[in-house]
Amino acid sequence: MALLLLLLTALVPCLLGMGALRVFYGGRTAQEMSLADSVLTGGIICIGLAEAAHLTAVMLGWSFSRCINVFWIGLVVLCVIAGLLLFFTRGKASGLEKQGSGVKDAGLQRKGLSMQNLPWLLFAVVAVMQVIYVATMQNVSVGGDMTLETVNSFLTSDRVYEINPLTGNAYTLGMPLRLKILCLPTLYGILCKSFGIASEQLVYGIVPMIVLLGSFLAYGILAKYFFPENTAKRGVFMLVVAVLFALGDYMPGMDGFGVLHSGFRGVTVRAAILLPYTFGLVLRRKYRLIVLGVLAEACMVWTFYGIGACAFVAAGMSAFSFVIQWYTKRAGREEDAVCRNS
Amino acid sequence: MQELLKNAWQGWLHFTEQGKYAALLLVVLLFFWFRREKCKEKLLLVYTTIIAVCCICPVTAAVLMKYQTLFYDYEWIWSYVPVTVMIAYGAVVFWFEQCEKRRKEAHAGKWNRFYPAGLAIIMVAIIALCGRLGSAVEGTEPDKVQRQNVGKVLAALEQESEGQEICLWAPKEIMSAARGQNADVRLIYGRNMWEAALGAYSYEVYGKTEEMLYLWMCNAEENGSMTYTTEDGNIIDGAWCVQTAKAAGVNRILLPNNIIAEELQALLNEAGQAVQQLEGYYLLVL
Repeated sequence: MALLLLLLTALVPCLLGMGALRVFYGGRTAQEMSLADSVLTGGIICIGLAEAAHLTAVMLGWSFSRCINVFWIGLVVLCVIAGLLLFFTRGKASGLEKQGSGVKDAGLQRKGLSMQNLPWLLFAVVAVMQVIYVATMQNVSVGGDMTLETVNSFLTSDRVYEINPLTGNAYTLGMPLRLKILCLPTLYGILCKSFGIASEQLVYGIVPMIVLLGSFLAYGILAKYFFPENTAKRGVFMLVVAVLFALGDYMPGMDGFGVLHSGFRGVTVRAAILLPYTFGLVLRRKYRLIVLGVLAEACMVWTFYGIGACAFVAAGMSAFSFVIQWYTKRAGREEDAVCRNS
Repeated sequence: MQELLKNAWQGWLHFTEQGKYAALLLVVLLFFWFRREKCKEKLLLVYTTIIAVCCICPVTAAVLMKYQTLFYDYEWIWSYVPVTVMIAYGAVVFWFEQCEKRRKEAHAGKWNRFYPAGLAIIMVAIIALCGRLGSAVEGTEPDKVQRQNVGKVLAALEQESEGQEICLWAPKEIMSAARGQNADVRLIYGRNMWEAALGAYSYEVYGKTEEMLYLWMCNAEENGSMTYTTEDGNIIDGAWCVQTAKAAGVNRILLPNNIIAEELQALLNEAGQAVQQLEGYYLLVL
């Protein structure tokens, strides 16, 4: 069942993401976006769906089983809509522009294919080792987190946030609403119940594995943006990212610590996937999708009234982009003036 | 505000104590600022530089900490800085630049083909020196083996209880992993008794009784003694703890196996209880 879950984790977000990109950008631009964009966008949509199911359970007092049904019905409906949309708009999209993959740097120019792919091979080795490490739940950081206990309490009591996950007793004073609206434990509980996977295996093993792979996708998008014509440079970029993860897990807050030891946490999903993806979107000027990232973050992490790091990054980079453009234009005008005078 | 500024500064010191990725980032930024023609991503460079400086300077760091909500510690404001992206981008640009430069400078036919690999190894070594460098990962207790051991204890407890609902009081290593292993087991207090950060997840508070029980159990784990003297001189003995736990709904007590045998026997005589061994602990059924 774990393999089925992994397979669906790849296929369903891809389908939803492709449909969403078609809605946001129309046929032509959607074709220019990569498969990684589709998967990440689809993943964000799945989180949104989990949030919707979670909120109905919290606000209306529905059972967890009913919440699971809401999620699956919503997912099937969205998949059908996405499928129909892609089917009926397939003729309107123009062809995908082929991206060159020639190597332009002297250092790896010779021996063609093998030297270009060597960085990718090394990256694959490091990435697979990390995936295995994470999947076997070797060293999991649970300090200050109660995701597993919360998932277990949902599964056992069939209610959402009605019993204290840490003791199993009913709440007497309750919990803050801003925490109650966060949906990750509900999503994990839905997957556990639906696929029959033990909660510990899913929360500490499978989810961190998915987050690690999602993180590589997000960084892969950045690699493609930085080095669109050079496969070898992209490979080296990804290899360095994997090495930085492996060697940089020395404290909470570091990207490596998050993906290797606490991939199930909302802050890790934000730092490892949403933020690199947001950087990629801003650099490529795909501003519409940033809204999804901001909303996804609000569903997973305690934010400042719904606006968090993704909004900050997007706003900050947009502001700096405006300033740089203004400065460049001003410098260009002054240069023209000097040239005219001389 | 003063407290926030102090936390911001202490946070920066702690952040740079464990590893030096922040220093590596600053080196990459300096590389790009002095060689601006090498960095095609001016926007990313400007943003990273300004936000990194904001994260270091206590005043702006305090503002960022307030923005991210005080639920999160200082180190999480560094999520706003693309540390991994920038270091990786800088490494790629530098490595390819050096390889190409060396190849051009080399005499015809005398290009050292091991130069790229050698340079790559040096760069990985620098990253390793700035990172964890093989030391143990902190903050990942209980590890997999400890969790599995707790699972065994709880499985044995469940078998012993024969379907009866369990409300448990046990040493910390059991209490910390119990609800994660088996949500059917209720606890008299949870991990938020000793992990202050978990207190933010709910408005629930523990009374003096639960605190005393926790302190008594910690003392028993550490010293094997069934008697604990509080800071204000009150003596808490095992019999009181057993009666109090029973009144609070506990029906299973696990005691560490380093308990002094005579004291345990005295408790059992006084409480009229029998004890059995369970996976390396003493089990009292109430």
